[in-house]
Amino acid sequence: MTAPLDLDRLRRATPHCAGIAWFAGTPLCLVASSGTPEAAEWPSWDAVGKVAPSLLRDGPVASPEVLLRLPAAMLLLAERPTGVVVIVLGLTKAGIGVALVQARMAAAQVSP
Amino acid sequence: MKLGLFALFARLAEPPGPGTGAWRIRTEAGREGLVLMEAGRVCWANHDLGGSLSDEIERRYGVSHTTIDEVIRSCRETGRPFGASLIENGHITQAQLTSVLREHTCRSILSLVRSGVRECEWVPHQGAGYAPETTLSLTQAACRCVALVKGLGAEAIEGSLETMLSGETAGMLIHVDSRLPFAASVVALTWPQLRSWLTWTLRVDSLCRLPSRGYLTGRGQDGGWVMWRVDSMIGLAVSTSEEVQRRLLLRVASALADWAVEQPP
Repeated sequence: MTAPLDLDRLRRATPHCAGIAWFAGTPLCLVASSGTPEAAEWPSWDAVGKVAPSLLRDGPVASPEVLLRLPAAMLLLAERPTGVVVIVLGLTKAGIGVALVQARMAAAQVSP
Repeated sequence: MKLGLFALFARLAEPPGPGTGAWRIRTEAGREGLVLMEAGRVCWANHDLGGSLSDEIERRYGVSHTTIDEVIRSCRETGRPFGASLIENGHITQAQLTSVLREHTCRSILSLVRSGVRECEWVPHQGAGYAPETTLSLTQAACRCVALVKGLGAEAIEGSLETMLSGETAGMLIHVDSRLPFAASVVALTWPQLRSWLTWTLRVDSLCRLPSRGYLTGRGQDGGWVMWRVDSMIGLAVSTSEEVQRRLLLRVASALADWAVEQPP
């Protein structure tokens, strides 16, 4: 497992990764991050942290994993027992399927 | 107190089981109207200040009043249903009948609301037999009324929604700027679901705006959801199994780049 403060290393090791963040607590607060959300409409980690509980817990179906597909990037939000991890990947010709696998692998390594 | 459109639909959404009967509606100035329901679905509505179905059939399809009167007279003698007789005699098609009946129903409900709804009284009955394809779920009726008020083609917007849902998923289209639902799915969506999904979607959008031609999707143990946006219109679909969720996501992901939906001016 990678400690939250090692997010820079994890980001460098994940292909096309633009950002990683770890949120915890109630209300959800940013604990550690590396890079940025990299989307004009999702301007900051704080904005992602604010919307994450609604997306993960309050929707029509409680969803421990939420994917946001933007024109050139994707964000994966994943609920963990102790918090929420967010991975941002730039999309390549390989497509969203490959990006999603990479994001899940990276998310699996983020846990305090 | 007068009931607005959504307050009226909230009332109509609670017919005593099994939901077959008529809502007798009194408006200001002592006028009356009816909303007929079968198994909780809206079959027909009428208001004595609303336009007549015959006028609408003539306007849309060019069937003269003389012809319509002859069909009505024949139906009275034989007991045959009016709509079925119009089709059998080749005056209109089934699709045209469905379209005109649904629009007449929604325009009548809007006419009732504009007249000021004061009372709704449920009158149960055993009558049944409306063709299922001509009836509407309550949420479809509500959304069609909204689209009509906004001057949009309710059928076309519903059609756009169904290109994503393919008749196997519940969902809705929401116009973000007006905060109103413009279409509900063919798969039944309850009134409380429509209200809660609308509230949740608008909350998510207010916290972080989904970009046009982008989508969000979540999956859980009991299916999942997909939310997509094109300009000011947001679609939301909710699936109840992993397999349906997989197909839904494939459709949205592949169709979103070219997906078209009418937008309010």
